[in-house]
Amino acid sequence: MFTFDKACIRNGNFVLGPLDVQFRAAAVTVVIGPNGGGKSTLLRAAAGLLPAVTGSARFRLPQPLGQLSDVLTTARSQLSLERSASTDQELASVVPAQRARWISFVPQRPESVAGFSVQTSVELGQVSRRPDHARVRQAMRRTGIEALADEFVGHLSEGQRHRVAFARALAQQSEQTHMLIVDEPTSALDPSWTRTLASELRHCAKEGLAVLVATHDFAFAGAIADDVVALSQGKVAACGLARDILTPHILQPIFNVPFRMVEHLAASPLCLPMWGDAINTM
Amino acid sequence: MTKRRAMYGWVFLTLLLAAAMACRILVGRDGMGQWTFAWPGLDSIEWRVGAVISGLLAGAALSLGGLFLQTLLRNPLASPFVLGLSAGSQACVAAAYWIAAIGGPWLLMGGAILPATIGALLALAITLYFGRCKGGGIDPISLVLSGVIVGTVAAALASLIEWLLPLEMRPALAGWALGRVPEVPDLSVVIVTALAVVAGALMGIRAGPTLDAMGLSDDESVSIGIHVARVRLSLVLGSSVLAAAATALCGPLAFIGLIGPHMARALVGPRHRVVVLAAAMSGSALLIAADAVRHFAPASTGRLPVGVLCALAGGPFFLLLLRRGAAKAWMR
Repeated sequence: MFTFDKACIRNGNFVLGPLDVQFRAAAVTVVIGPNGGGKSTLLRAAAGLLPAVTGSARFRLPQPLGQLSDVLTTARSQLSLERSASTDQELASVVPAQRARWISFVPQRPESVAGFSVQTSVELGQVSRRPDHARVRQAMRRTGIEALADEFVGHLSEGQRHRVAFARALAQQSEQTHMLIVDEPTSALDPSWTRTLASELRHCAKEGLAVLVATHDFAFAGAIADDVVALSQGKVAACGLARDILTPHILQPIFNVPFRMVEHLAASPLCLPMWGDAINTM
Repeated sequence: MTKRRAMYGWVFLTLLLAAAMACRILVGRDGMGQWTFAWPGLDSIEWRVGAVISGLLAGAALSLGGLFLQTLLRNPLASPFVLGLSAGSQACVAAAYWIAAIGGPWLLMGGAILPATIGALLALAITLYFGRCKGGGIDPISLVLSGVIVGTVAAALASLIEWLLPLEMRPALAGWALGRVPEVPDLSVVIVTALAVVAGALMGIRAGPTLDAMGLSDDESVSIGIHVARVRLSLVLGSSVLAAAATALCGPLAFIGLIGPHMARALVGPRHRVVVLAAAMSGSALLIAADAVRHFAPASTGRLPVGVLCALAGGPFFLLLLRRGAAKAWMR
């Protein structure tokens, strides 16, 4: 569980907050909001990349970590003693190497290292933990970049580089990982990879991670979200369960475009922006 | 980079270094000024071995310094010379000579290393200060421009101080300022350079994966657990000490620190665990080879400084990198 408690976050001239939000473990929280609303700032703060100037950004861990070996950790979680010995940890007081064990982060515009192959780039995710080759292979399989393993990352398309960055975040994860943060992952992905990504994110939540995703893609948001945080002009405009927030009467004032509920075959209806008619009348 | 190709790279590099060392020992000039290719007599072997050791250390130090700067700044055009570190060292060493000329030679007791290091750090700090963009990021081309200007001003300062020196002290400093590989190096400088090279290489190899990860954006490297500020500080200090040691030993040498790392990457691949050692070897091989080739120039007008050769060969290489858009490719 991750908590922002009256937290204000400064990013250049932009100030986000004060924020009072929580991200549940084993759930996908989707962050939506207009451009410049503070989505990326929120995600970077949750990843510990921007400190909270006031208030606090806290992490509640199932058990005190760092003293226990991995074996013990797994044994404990199997005995479901997880909640019995919880501790609150201020995110700012943690060194990067420890934070990297708890949180993995995929930025909006991932960069690649010159001359590095896809596989080497994915392995970079394990720089501050014990290398685990099986996990690297698994991460590449899950993101569908196995066949590109020996390609230079610099030669790939943007969507493929996004998948490399996502694979790096998956490779970074271990038994100690509690959170996965992904900033606008779908902007460069085709529908097929968007679907794969959606199921990967659900899978991570099912494994117990708190998954935090920023997106403008409402079909994607509707498909994966348990919780939704809507940000507008640096403030929380709405937050709560997905079925309560992803509704036309909440989203229309935030985005200033009409939204409609769209029935579709598989599951609950989606709330999608419908601005096509507005263009026709102009 | 396949394993096989990297292995060929290592073989090539080892042979190149051995060949360069052999050439430097075999090539010389006889009393008539004709160049010779033979095992030197007992009288001159000591000098030639001295030159090989100097070249080995200075080349490795420059190349490692260049590699660390390129990693630090994510900029393939960075090197101690291009960013003004060499000239900064040169100016401070000249200043130290001048102070010693006024205050007495005991002021130069610590050798040229200390002033050289101060100069390199100062030059790097000024270059970084003016090479930054407003947002805090670093634009590769502005950084290089800033470094070139800092280097030019520092070199001019060095000339000015040289001109202030008493006449009898000028020739030693003037020869050094053109860049030469000493045949009878100052022992204290050799020891410090050797320590800097060994320490730099060992730390670079040990921190290999961390240095690899420095190639990512700041957000990414922090989020995979790199203490970016700490690594940056080590890289600034390390590259400055290495550049300063090389400059104290051989004077300001252009482009060895630029070509060395690129050659190493091309031969053995970009991972720091391997490229650190390969860069040190490339730099040594290049400098020793240049020092050997120097002997083929007509000697009637005196010996050709090796710095001239380095600049002649390295300048076009820099332009080639610029033309190929290497800076942009690295920023992707």
